[in-house]
Amino acid sequence: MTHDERPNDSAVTWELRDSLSALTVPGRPSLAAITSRGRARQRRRRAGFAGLGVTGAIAGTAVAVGLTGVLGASSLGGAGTIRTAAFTLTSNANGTDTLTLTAGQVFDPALLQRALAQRGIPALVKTDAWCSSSLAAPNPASIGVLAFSSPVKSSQGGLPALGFREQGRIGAHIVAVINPAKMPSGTGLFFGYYDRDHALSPNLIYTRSYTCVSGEQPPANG
Amino acid sequence: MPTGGLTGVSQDKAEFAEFFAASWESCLRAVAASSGNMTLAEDQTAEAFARAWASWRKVSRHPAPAAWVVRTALNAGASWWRRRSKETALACHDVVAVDGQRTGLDSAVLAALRRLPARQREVIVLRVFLDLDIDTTARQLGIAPGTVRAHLSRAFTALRNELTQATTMEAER
Repeated sequence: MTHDERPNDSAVTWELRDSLSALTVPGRPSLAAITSRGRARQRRRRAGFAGLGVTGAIAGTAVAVGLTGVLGASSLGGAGTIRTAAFTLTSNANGTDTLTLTAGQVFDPALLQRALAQRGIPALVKTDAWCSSSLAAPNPASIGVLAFSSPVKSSQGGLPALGFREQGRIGAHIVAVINPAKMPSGTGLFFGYYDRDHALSPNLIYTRSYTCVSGEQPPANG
Repeated sequence: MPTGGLTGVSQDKAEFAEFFAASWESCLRAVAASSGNMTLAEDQTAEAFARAWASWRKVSRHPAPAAWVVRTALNAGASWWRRRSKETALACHDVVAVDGQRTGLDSAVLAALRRLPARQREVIVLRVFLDLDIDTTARQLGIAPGTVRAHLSRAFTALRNELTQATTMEAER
């Protein structure tokens, strides 16, 4: 008891503290999981959150954009699963997120972009367009940003080295693990969705300067 | 990167690691007791520590970093509930139902705590759970020490009444 409390208050204080000590709490997460989440937060802050207002400016021509902010992310990085018919995005305890694509479902790029933003992953998802940086960003698979649980064929080199498209169509249980902590500063994930093939190809781009070409697909050799 | 910078970063990392190890459990307990949901509290506390890590230079200079974490976690929880109430079809976070008996969150005093007005609850969390003194609690909440005392007094009165009531009902059974 302190001088701020009356005698009867100390009984309440002890009761509160006893109840608090009696709580059964789960174990402490790893420091790496916390710092990974913190790094993702720092990246989001640096990238700015100007929203996801992607307009139709890319139609037909290559457009170079200083698009800091398009690859936005929400400020709420809570745990949980975001589930739509075409995909599921699950947040893992180690700070990664698992993206599972389901075959035969209508895929909505805007939904995936919002879901990734909600999980704190700066990303741009477009239909029938390919975005890349003039200064080539690292291959997302080779630096651990993306890992595929499903067997996905690698290309001969260049970008993208891995892609759902190379697997053919979006198949059942194609699973990619995204590790936002491995994303280099100033980069964001790009996913191009190609309606004709019902295929999705990933790329890593620098958010400050990249080019999107409408109607273009990923480099054939890449 | 300059070597001096690396040294500073390493020191920051070590300080944060020490703070995290020492404070995780007490912060989680305080957040869970106040929110009543262990699963959500665990996530909010992790988020708050992640934010502390991201702003460690600032948070480490805070007079009570653990209080900063708890308040950040509780604020994140409030945002989460506001957001959830406006959710569209996209967001479908699943909240695991609270198993109060398993976690101990169903104790009469903690249930009574959660029925207090938000400000009184905050004062209890900082003053009783985190053991901050009146002045630090006041600074943390941006209110006068006298106001902290007033909230504390009202909170204790309400809790005592609730506990007396609960004891009477128990005795009458």
